[in-house]
Amino acid sequence: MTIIFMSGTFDKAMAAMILATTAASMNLEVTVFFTFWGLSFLKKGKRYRRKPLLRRMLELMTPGSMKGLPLTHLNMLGVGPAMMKALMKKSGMASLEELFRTAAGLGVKFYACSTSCSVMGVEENDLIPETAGTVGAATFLGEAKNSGINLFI
Amino acid sequence: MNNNENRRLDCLGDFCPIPVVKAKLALEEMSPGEVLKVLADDPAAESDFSAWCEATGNPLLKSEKTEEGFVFLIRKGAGGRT
Repeated sequence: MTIIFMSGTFDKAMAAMILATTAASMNLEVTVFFTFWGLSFLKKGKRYRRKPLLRRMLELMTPGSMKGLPLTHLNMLGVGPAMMKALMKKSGMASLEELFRTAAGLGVKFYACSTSCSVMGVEENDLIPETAGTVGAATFLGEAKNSGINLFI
Repeated sequence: MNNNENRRLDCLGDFCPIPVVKAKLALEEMSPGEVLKVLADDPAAESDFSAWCEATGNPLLKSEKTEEGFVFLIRKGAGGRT
């Protein structure tokens, strides 16, 4: 299974991680390609040093890591995600970070989109160690071609 | 082959996809032919385990609704897959 994760929102990241862990548990090879807004998911945190003004502004306005992803709807300046996370915790649902670690443990591969990294000034050092590499569209499509399921989230 | 459980897995309180992930990890440590008993109360578990067992080649010997939720008996398949 291959997934393009572009949206960069918490709820859609949950969907992507639930499907990735489930597919991996069914012995499918799973690759997730993080592009554009989705790149925030793989970031270690915010970095402002050695960046020109526009990129620093972008860094300021985008989430620094998977912990800071907004909700697609009802974000309410960050109140929405906090409420959603509290609700999930109360009902015993696995968190986004737990699902991500489970996916990584089951061998799911996480790739960062090279062009998004270049445009947004994200370097390999800015990405979490679970990132398998910074690759281009051809590498992703090479894997998608052999996968029976491809999702764009 | 008997259907006695070799290992028991408690997934009570777990939501999709945690029960099937736990089952996969448990079956990885078992030998082909051994039986895993899974207890789950996620309403999705009944159809999920049926589909998961089919996809992974681990026969689902029993799927039963109880007061607590569901009981599944899964035999680890011979194909070397989990």
